[in-house]
Amino acid sequence: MTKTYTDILSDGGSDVLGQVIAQRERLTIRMADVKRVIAILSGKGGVGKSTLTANLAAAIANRGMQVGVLDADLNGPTLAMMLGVKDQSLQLAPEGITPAVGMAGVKVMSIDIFLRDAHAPVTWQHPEGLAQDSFVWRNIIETTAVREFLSDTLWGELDVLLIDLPPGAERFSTLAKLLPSLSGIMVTIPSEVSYRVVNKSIRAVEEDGGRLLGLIENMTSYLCPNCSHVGPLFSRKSNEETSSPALELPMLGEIPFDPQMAEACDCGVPYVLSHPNSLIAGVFDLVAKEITETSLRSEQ
Amino acid sequence: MKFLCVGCDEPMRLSDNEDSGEGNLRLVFHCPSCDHDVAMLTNSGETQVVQSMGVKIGSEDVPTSRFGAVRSHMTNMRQDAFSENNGDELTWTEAALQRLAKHPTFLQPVIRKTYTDFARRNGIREVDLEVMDAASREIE
Repeated sequence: MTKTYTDILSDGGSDVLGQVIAQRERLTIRMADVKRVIAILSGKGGVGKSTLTANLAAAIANRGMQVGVLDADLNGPTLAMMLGVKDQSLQLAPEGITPAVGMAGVKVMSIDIFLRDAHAPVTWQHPEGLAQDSFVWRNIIETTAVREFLSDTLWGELDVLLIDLPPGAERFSTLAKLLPSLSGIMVTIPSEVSYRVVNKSIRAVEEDGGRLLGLIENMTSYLCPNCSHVGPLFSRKSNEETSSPALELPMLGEIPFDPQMAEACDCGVPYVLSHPNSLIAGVFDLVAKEITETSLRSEQ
Repeated sequence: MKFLCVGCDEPMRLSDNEDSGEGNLRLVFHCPSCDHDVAMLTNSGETQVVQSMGVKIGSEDVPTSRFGAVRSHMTNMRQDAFSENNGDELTWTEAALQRLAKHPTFLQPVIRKTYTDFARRNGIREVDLEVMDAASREIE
């Protein structure tokens, strides 16, 4: 009787499977001190996920909670700049790497901190002559990088770890496999196109067993800086696209558009900190309250 | 991936590994029963795919370096992105802490980190007003 794969216990020496299990255990141990892990995602690009992440992190920190932010948008990292940590260096210790400390004490880890200049893209080494084949392992190394960001960063005790994801639902599904407690917040803008794509993403996440806390509609209206008049920024979406599954999610917040919000991000100071008494800061505070209490309720 | 000596029906053990330096691996597996050896050869692309997972092949030593895959595979990394933490804690003089406290609360963590980074880069163990001034001049 010839032995089959399962009859043989080890791979003869490298123990690749054991190494993968060890990676997962390292992640589990690191996340043990993190009470909530919440991903900010959207099927649609350009809806303001990173801006929302930076401001939400600051709003949660303003409520006296310990907050971390992981910038998982590896090819479009912006949170180091938005949270004012771009030029910080990271302390390397045997047990891990100390994250940068941003506005309001938010702990930040972003690949942007590693890049040698502002315009340097994130690129990965490849064997000589195989540049055109790098797409084969690019997804693998990016997933590995995000896992290392999570497990090798000395996050310490956190009430909330926010993870800013690139557009698309697939990265959320990958992360959810690594982090079973992961929940998500879907972001959209009030256009038919955005709702159409976001509806697909919601369905993709739910079909994969993922958990969404709710929806945030960004740029929901235009807030005039001169007269404080609030008007629509986009033509309203059709009934078809405002129907399920997006409307079945709790609406966590509707954020008006204010050009000063982008300016604040450019300066490395989240808008909720530079304009603490603004209407928008109030909305973010309500979202912060809702998501921290919602995730707390779901734990009980 | 596992290796079986077909003649003996015995699992083979890794006995040698060699990296050509160009990403081509040569892993030798040995049958403990009949002493037969076989070599598995991987091309650089195959090696790259496996190493991208952050695992090491050809060794029982599990990689323990933090951010190992990122640091070994990422290009365009700035030289001073990481600094070794030798465990020495910085101290702050009272006057330095008082100056820090004059900044808005939400800014203080970032400002504190800026001065701390400057002190560590320059081998300084205590942050005082002079150090803060020097750091500010560098930023300007």
